[in-house]
Amino acid sequence: MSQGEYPVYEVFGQKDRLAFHTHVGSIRAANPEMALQMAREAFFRRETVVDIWVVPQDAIYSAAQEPAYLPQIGEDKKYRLPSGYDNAPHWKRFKARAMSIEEVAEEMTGKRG
Amino acid sequence: MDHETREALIRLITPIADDEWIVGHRGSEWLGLAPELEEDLAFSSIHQDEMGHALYLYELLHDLGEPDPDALVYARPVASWRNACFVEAANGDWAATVVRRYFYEMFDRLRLEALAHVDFTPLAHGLKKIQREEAFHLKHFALWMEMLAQGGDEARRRVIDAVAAVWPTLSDLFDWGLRDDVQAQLGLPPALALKDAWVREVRAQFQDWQLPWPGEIPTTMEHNGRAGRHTPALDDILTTMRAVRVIAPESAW
Repeated sequence: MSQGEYPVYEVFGQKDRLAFHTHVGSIRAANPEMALQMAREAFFRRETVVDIWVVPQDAIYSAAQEPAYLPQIGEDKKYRLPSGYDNAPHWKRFKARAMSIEEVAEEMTGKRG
Repeated sequence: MDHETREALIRLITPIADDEWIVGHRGSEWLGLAPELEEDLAFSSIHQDEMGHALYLYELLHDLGEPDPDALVYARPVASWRNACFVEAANGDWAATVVRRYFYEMFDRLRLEALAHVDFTPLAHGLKKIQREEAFHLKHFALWMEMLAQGGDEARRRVIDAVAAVWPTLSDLFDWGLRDDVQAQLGLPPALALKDAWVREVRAQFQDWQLPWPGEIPTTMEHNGRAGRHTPALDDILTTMRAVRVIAPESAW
């Protein structure tokens, strides 16, 4: 390993199997395995997670460096907003009681049919 | 539970609790001084775990008729402590700390496996949680060993020097501190088997890390913590640990 500062790793934790990995902060570490160990101790001493990700910061391409890449959603793009669908309650129930995808579909088509 | 079994369990658990407590205390001495911020957090957290394990075991001892944990820690004479001299020695530099902690964690893993044979439910219950945490501790210090062993000339030299320095002080770690018949009765493997298993595991990892093997572990030791024959280092620890207690015995924490 070369001398100098350790690389920065961004840390993500997943609270349960259905949750997204959520960014919680960053740490420095000598290598990915140590980064995982440090992430566990720095961010997850008091809470349970089912998974931890560490991502080398320089592996992340950020849009903020090139403002042209940043989306500008204005009133004129209303046609892109998915209004008219009301699936949210179904998904909430799906998450809450582990229905199968078929049951969700049945429920949705049943209500509409 | 008959008197004899109770005595055997007290004699079995005391050295383990004392090891964990002293390791925890020595670990706390690095607070704010570890080589990096992240390690400072991890190192403190690991040693909090160790103190937690010790507390669990001291409470078990209390249930078996021993004084309460505070009395065991703050009022017990030095000669009644049963931790290995190996864990009471001063920390030294970071490489020496890593070497000591790696050696201890490997030993602790094998000891925990051996303890699974002991038929005492409250112990078995606590061991489950302890084992999960210790598995992480071992991985952490093994990774540090690997990084230092392969991290350039100075780191490597410091690890090799530290190994050579602690090698002659290892042997009381493997002593159960029990009479042979009691040890067999509890279902525990002999100290020699524990030591052999440790040598096998550590030697294999030393090979991976290309560290020179220091040879046989010397067995003759002037001191033996399991018999209460400690080095002056334990006095130092207890004096520091009890400083506030001595000034103000009734102070609330």
